Amino acid sequence: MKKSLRVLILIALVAGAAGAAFAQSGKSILKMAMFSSPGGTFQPAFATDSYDFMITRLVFETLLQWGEDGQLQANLAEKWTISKDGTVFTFVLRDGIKWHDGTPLTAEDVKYSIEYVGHPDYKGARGSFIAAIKGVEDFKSGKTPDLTGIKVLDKKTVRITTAKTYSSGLLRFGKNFEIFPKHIWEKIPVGKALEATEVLRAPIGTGPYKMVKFVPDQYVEFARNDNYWGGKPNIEKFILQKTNQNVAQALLLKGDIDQIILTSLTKADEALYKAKGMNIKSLSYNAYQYLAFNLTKDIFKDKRIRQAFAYAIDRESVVNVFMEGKGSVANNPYPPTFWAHPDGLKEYKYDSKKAIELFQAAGWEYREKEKKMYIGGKPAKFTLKYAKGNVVTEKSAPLLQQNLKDVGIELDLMIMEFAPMFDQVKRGDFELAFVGQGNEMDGDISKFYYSAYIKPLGENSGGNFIRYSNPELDKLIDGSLKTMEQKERAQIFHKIGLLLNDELPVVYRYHWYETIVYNGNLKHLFSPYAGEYYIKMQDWKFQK
Amino acid sequence: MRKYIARRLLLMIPVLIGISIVIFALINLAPGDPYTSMIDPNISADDKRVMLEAIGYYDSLPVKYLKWVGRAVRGDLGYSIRYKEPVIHVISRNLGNTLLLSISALILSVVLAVPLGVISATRKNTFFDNLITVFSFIGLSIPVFFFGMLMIKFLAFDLNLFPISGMASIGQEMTPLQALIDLLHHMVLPVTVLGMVNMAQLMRYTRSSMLEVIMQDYVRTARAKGLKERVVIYKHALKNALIPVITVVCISIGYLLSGALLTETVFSWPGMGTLVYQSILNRDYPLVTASTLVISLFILLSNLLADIFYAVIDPRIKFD
Repeated sequence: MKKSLRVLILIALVAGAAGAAFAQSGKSILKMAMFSSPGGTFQPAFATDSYDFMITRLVFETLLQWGEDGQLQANLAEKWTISKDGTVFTFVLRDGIKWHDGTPLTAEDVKYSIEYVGHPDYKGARGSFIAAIKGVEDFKSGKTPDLTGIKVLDKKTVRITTAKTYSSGLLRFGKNFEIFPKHIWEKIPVGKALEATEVLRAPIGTGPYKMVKFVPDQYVEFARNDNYWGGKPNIEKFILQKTNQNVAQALLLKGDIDQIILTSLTKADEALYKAKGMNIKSLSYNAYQYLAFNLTKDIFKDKRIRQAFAYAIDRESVVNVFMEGKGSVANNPYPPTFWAHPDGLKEYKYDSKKAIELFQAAGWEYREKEKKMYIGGKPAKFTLKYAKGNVVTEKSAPLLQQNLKDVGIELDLMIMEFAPMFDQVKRGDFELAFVGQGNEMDGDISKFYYSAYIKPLGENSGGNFIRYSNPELDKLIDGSLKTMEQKERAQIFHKIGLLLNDELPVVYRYHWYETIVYNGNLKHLFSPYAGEYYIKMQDWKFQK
Repeated sequence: MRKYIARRLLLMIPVLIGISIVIFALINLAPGDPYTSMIDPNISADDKRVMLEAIGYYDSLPVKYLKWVGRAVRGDLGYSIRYKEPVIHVISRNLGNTLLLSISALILSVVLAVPLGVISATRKNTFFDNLITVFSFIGLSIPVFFFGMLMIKFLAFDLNLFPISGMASIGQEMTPLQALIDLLHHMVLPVTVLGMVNMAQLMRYTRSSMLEVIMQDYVRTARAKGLKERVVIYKHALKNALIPVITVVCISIGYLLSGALLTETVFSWPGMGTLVYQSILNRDYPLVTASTLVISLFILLSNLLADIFYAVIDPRIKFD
C-alpha cells in the first residue's frame, strides 16, 4: 500500500515539474475567456446561442462595420447608395476578398446569405430579418425559386429593394447579415442544414481569423488569415477558452488568459487589475433596466402616479452601490453615449416627500399618522415580479420594497425563474415587474411602445407587454420610419426620448456597462459599442 | 451464484424503466422550453412555433415518451438541440473525461483511506488517530467547491505548481508523451479535490469496520497463538474488515460520477457533470434525459457490482 502511494506522489511531482516547463509565452497567442461553451452551430443563419455568436462574428463578416466615430463604415462593401425614397439599397463589394478556402467572394454570396432565411425549408429563428424586402412572401411560399427583391447586378454589386421606405435598411442589411459562402452551403439542402454537424463546426468565412479546432466544452482555436483583405493580422493564434467565471480572474492575473468580458466589476477588483497593469474599458450597453407598470390597470394610468414612483425610488444607490459605478441612472431608453440620447431630460431625483405630494395630487390618500398610503379607501399594496439570475436585480427588489414603505406603500416580492416570469409578464399577468431590454442600434424602439403591437390581456403581447398606447408617440414613430435622413431621425428620436421621459410608461432605472479587462501589453484593441469584440482585430498586437 | 447475478441483472430492467419514466416526466413537466430562454428579439412567435414543432415539442407527454423509448432501444438516444450532434457522441466524449477523473480519484482515495483507516483503528485514541479523525471530519464537512477554490488559490495561483483549470494546455504543439504529461499535470488538482472528500468518508468507514473486527474472538485467538501483530492485522483482520469497505467503494463509483459535477465546474473539466448542468440550463431535453439515464445506469451497475462483490468475497453469504 505504502509503496504505491509513494509512486503516485512521485508521478504527481514529475507532472508538476514537467508541466511548469510548458509555461506559455502568450506573445503570439491571444486567449479570451468565455463562461460557457458554444453549442457548435457556427452558421450565421442558425446561431442563436450568444457563445456561438462569439465564433460566427469572428469568422464571418458583415457588409458594414462600426467605425471609431460610432457610425457605419465600409467593411466587405466598399461603397453603397440608397435611393431617395429609401427603398433601393445598392452595395458594391471590395475587390480581392477571398474565403478562407481561397475562393473569391462575390455578390452571389451576399444574395445567398440574405435570402437564405426566407427559404421555405429554413428552420431557424431569423425569418423576420428579411420581412421588409420585396418578394419575401412569394419566396417563402415557394412561388419563386429565389428572393426577387435581391438582385445581383454584377460580380461585385448587389441591389436590395424593399416594399416600403425602410429607414433601418442600412443598419439591417449592413450589420444584421454575416455573409457565408454559397459554394459550400448550396450543396446542403436547407431543411437538413442543422444535421450537417461537420460543416456547421468548420465554418469558412472571410474574417481575420479562421477556425482551426473546436473542442466541445473546452475551447475553440483560430489561426490568422494570412490573406485577410484588411491586412495580415499581427497575432498568430486566437483561442476562446471555456473558463469558470469564478476562476477567470485568477487566470487573467496569472497570464493564462489575456482578455475577459464582464458585466460587473467591483471597485476592489478594478483596483487589483489596474495595479497589475491590466487595461480596462467600460462601454455602456445600448439597453436599460426598468420598473414596468401594467398599464391596463386604472391606478397606473395617471402619469403623475408613475412620476411619483420615479421620485420614490432610489436609483442612484443601485448604480453606485450595487453596481459599484459600472452604469448610469436612466431617464429614457437611450444611454448617454448613444447618438439618439436627448438633452434636457427630467431627472426625477430620489425624493420621498415629492413622491408623496405627487401621489396626493393624483388622488391617492396619505394618512400621516399611520404613514400609510390609501387608494380609494383601501391600503396601497402591490406585488413585484422579478427574475432570478441577475445579482443587481435581486438586490434592487428589497431596496424597492423599503423605498415604497417610506412612502406608505406595501410591496410584496415575488422572485421567479426568468422563463415563467417573462411569460406571465408578456400576458399581462402582473402589477409591477423588473425587466431589462435593449435598443436597436438605429434607435428604433417601436417594438416596445407602438400601440399597434398590443395584444389583449392573456395573450403574449411580445415587446409591448406593458400595453402602452399613446397616439402622439405612435405618430413620432411613424415619422421616424419614413425618413432616411440621419439628422432628421436623430431629431425625432430626441423628441421620443423626451416624451417617454415625461410620460414614464415605465420607470427607467439604469443603463449598465460591459467591461473588458485585458492584458496590459495588448494594443489597438477598440470597441465603440458593447457587444462588438473583434473590430479591426488584425491591428491588435502584443507589445514587448 | 450465476442465478443470483442473472436475477439481479433482470431486476435492473424494470428499475431502469421506472427511472426513465420519472426522469422523462420531471423534465418535461418543468416550465419553459428550449427557445424561450433565447432572448433574441427577432424571433417571432411563428418562427418559434416552427422550431418547436421541428423538435416534437407539441406532442403529448405519453407520445413523446413512447417515441423516445422506441428510439432509445434501437440505440438512438436522440439529437442534441444545442450541439447539433447525436446525443450518444456528446455523452461518450464527456463520459470518458469523467471516468478518467472519477477512477483516478477513487484509486487515490482508496490508496490513502485504507492504510490510514487501519492505522487509525489499531492506534485508537492516540495522537495520530485523533489527528486523522480531525482531518477526516474537515474533509467530510468542507464543501467541494470551496475546497477546489482553495487549492486553486494556493497551489495553482500563489505557488504556480499546477494549471488553474481545464484538461489540457491549449495552443501548443505537443508530442503524445508531452500531451500525456500535460494531461496528468492538469489532473492533479481536480483528482485531489474529488479524492480527498471521498477519502475522508472511506477512511472513517475502514476505521470503524476494522475496530469491529479487532474486537472479534478469532483475533484474540490469533494473538494468543503467538502470531506477529502485523500478521494478525494485515493477514487476518484486514481481509474481513475490507468486506463492507469494498461495498462502499463500489457504491461510491456512482457517487463520484455524478458528484463530480462540482469539481468539474470549478476546474472547467469537460465531463458528465458539466454536461448535465449545461443541458438543463439550455433546456436541451434529449441530452438531459439521456445523460441522467446514463448516470442512473452507472449507479445501478455499481450497486450491482457491490452486491456481487460482497457475495463473492464473503463465503458466509448464501443465496436462496
